[in-house]
Amino acid sequence: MMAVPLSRFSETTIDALSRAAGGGVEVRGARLVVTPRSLDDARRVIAFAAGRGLWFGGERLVLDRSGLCYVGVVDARAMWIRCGAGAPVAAVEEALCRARLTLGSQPPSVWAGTVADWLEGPYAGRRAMDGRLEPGVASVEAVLHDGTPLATRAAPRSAAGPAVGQLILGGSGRCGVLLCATLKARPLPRQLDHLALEGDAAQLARWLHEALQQLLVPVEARIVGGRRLEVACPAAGEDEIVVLQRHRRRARELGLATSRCDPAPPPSGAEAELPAAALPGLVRAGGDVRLVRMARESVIAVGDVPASLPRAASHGDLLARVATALVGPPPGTG
Amino acid sequence: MAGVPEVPLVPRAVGHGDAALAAALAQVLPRDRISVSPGDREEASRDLWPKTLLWLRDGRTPPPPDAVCRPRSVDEVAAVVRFASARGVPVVPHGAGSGVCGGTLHLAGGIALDLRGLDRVRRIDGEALEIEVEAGALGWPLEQRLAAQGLTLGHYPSSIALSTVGGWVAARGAGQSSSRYGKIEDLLLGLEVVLGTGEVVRLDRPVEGSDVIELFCGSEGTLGVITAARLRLFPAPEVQLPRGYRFSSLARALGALEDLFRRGLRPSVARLYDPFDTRVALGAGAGGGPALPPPGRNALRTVPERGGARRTSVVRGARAAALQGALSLALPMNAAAGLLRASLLVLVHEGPAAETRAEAARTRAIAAEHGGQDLGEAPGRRWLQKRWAVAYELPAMFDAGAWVDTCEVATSWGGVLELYRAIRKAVAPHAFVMAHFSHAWPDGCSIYFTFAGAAPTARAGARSYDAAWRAALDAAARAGATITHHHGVGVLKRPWLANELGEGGVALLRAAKRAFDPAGVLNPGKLLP
Repeated sequence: MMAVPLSRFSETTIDALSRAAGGGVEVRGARLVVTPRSLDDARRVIAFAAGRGLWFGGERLVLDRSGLCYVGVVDARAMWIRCGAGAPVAAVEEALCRARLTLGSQPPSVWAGTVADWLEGPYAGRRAMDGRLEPGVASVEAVLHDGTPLATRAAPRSAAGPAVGQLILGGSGRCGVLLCATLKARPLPRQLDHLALEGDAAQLARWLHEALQQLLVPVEARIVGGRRLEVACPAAGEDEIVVLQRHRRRARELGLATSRCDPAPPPSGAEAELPAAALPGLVRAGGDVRLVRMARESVIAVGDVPASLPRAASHGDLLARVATALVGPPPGTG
Repeated sequence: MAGVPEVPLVPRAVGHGDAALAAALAQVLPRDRISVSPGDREEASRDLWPKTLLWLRDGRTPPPPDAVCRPRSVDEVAAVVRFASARGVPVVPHGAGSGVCGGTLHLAGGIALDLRGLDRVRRIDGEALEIEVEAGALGWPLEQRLAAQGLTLGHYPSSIALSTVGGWVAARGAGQSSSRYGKIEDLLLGLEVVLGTGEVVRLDRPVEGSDVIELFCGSEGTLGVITAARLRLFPAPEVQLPRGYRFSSLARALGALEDLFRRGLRPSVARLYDPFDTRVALGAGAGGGPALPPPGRNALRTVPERGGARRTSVVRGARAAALQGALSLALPMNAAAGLLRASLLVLVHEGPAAETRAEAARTRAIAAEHGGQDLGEAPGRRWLQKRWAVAYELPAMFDAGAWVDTCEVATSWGGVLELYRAIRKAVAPHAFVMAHFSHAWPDGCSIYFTFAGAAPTARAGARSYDAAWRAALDAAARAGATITHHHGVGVLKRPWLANELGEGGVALLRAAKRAFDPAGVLNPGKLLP
């Protein structure tokens, strides 16, 4: 697909884009910004652009998805919610909370952004479910850069070929543009107990690593100064109390002091997805770090995260190959 | 939608393969790892797709490969793939042949890449709780080795004795304990794959951005040859607590199952039997089932004699006739089964002792809320004892002049009962239907149907077999369910895959094929419409 400088957008093309987008086309500096107001408008305008060799996502031709801010009705039985790519994640969470559900523990950048920011970004919409890192998305609706519509089928799990929707998730728009998604939620914890563990950094890291491995995962954790770990754990049901008792017992076995503590303040600062193997280094480093979306193999750390710690891998090279096979080499602009 | 695809068939008498191809292959692979013998070719010509047993009764078989290669290292796999890619020769990766959808059939001859020689355990890390193992490792010996170290994969497909790690990943499989430990995609931490170009790529999780492992998982050998996997391990459970509950209706039982999983409980096994299957499950004696999985695939590849059901005695003949007679009346049989009401829920809780007991106690309370009658441990113990038995029973059905197959679909909780009814209704004219609900998740579950039809002749059996499958998958597609939860697509479900993936999904799959297998030699005729 060829790069198209702004000067080459003819009036006719701009008019046609405007009609396809329901009127939402605006020149902002050197960029042409198209703002569809509905899913149908979005599908139409992307397909129209693809038919003329134009590709949204470059420097010059921008798809503003703020109009796709639909937040659907919660499917309380499946714990799913369908929402537009432009919907603020915070608004989605609000709707879920009203149904006593939640997207789970996520970093501040996710809560501050839109569904598209989250799902197409580095965290790819994944969630930690009882320590298991899994797609937090039941289905996606998108338009590929050649104009082909993509709508994956919502199912709890499937063996119907590869999970092709994963190429949209975390793909930064490389293969196509996300328009809508059905997100998976989970029950909101009915009650949280806040537990502080204090002692040797290595033992704190070991305690946390074991909890993750045994799939007895705190909702969130905070590392304070390399000697203190604060965790929030569900504590409503009898089975949850048993898990808490196990946590306390194991802490004692590791020579850690335990006490109740107050909820931690909201996390802020730099974010990084770290493999679980980086936990000992993270605790040792001291500082004030919040751990969210904790899974057995990785956590997202927020706060004082040393740059020297290993980060999550990237499959970007192979994704680029698929994208190139789909629409040709990426344009430099436009 | 189109029906079950036609497969080109050849007479069962398989001869020697392509000697010229073998000679050329000997330039890249030691000669003793290449075979063109009739026996090896015939073995590689089919998997455990039940329909192949009908063809065998008729003296026919799918086309065999021209040669069988048995590499023993990743480099040898890459060499064979490069060879095939340069010459445009089809390559079909093979594990232990336990697929049930025809995913390893050689529709266009070519090379069977038998990966069972890559069976090394490269690393077991008891601290990090992970294992790196080659693709050809068989499940049961692997699990035994882990058990000796107090570990488990938690992956127990009913095919565990005759399926490989690579096959699990390639077909996106599930084990009987998936509700606690996850499907294979949940266990997968890394992959080593030989692309169609012969490149070896190694992919790890966790991943920032798009996770391309998800693309190879479920690709059924069409995008790359999986040569090794890094998988999660778990501590072996301290306790295992089986339990059974009886409900007055399937709907009430489903309500309990949904409630359990939506509230976050994770029994390792959760199997809810429909009313007819409940009779079968409760009626099954404690004895008779093997304590261990079947010893090998030959036990499941019983080949009936040509020309109809084998009748070696008057009693056996009478039983076969009765079975055929009953199954030829599928519609009234299904109607009669529909009059039954009670449903059995079998659960197995496992894990650390205190937490598992607490989970079992909470489960009892939830089951009681839904009117479940606690039957104690017996139903769960019986299930554990007979968990591998079904694999033995299927060939005997074919032997008696019937056919039987299983179909596993999945959907969200709101659609489960409707999907069950829709598929039962659609298949009822063609085959007797029963089902259980298993592989439950917080958002939905799989329905595992068993279809059984009369096959007085092999060709008549094939007709009712195709009709039943077409009815089932059309009904699943209409209901918006996925057509397969863990058996995969293979040849059998390929016509329905395009509908499930949609235009965009097919476009992405084709793009991945062009990117990773530009010569199109890997498992041609599979997955891609």
